[in-house]
Amino acid sequence: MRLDSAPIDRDLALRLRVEDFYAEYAQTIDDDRLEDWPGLFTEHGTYRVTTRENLDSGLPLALIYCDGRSMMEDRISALRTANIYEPHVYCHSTSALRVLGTSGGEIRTRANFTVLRTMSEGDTAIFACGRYFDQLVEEDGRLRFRARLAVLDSRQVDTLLVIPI
Amino acid sequence: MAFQKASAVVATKGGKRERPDVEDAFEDDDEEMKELRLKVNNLVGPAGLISMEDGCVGGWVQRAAKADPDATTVMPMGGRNVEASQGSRITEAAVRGFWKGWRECMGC
Repeated sequence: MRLDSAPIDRDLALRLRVEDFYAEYAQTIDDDRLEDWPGLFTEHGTYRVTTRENLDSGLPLALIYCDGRSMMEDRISALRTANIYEPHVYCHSTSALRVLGTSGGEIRTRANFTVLRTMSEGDTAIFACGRYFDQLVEEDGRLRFRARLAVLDSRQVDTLLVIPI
Repeated sequence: MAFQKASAVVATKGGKRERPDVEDAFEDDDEEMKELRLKVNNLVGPAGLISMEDGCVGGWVQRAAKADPDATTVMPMGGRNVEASQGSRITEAAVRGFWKGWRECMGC
């Protein structure tokens, strides 16, 4: 019996594209190119950061809830010009990526994330970990988030959350 | 309508201690109002556009205050002077003025 490799090739190609897109997302934030961050979403895409507890309890409140690119641009504008915080950088690690399914041009994926935060004094700490649940679409020949939900395992954010996860 | 869990444990009727749901909306809110309330919550919390500085300043004060954990640390916030400390109305002068008046009234 000969296994047909075409579907596997297709799945692999999609997986590589999603992996590359996840890496682009992480590096856009970690390299402090935050002005490019909203462009990783569709114009009416949503971005939420919530906690595992709220998700499991069916409670809708999010720490960050951006409905559309404009709200994301507002966040970055506030971060650059208005908010006061100690300078710090993130290092994202994304793992356990799975493509859950595709339908109607939408790709549903999930992955784990860990975010290490390094302060200006040089100390690094585990800042956040959890799961991404995403809906991706292809637009202008590239992937974009129609919805990204970041679910934090912790419900205690150290000090503040100004840079997106 | 509950949106989130309270951050602190509280005693409820019967002495049971638990973290209750926080009511952030009314039962008769329509979907549009509920959505609006969820968006307004972008202002508060650790990622709140107007509240995140509270965590930042609290962190600075905590680090400064733990220099000697066995002693008491006092932060006089400008001392007993009630003159504005900066060229803005956003100062602690009014609070210091209040406590200066309170000390006089209380004879301390």
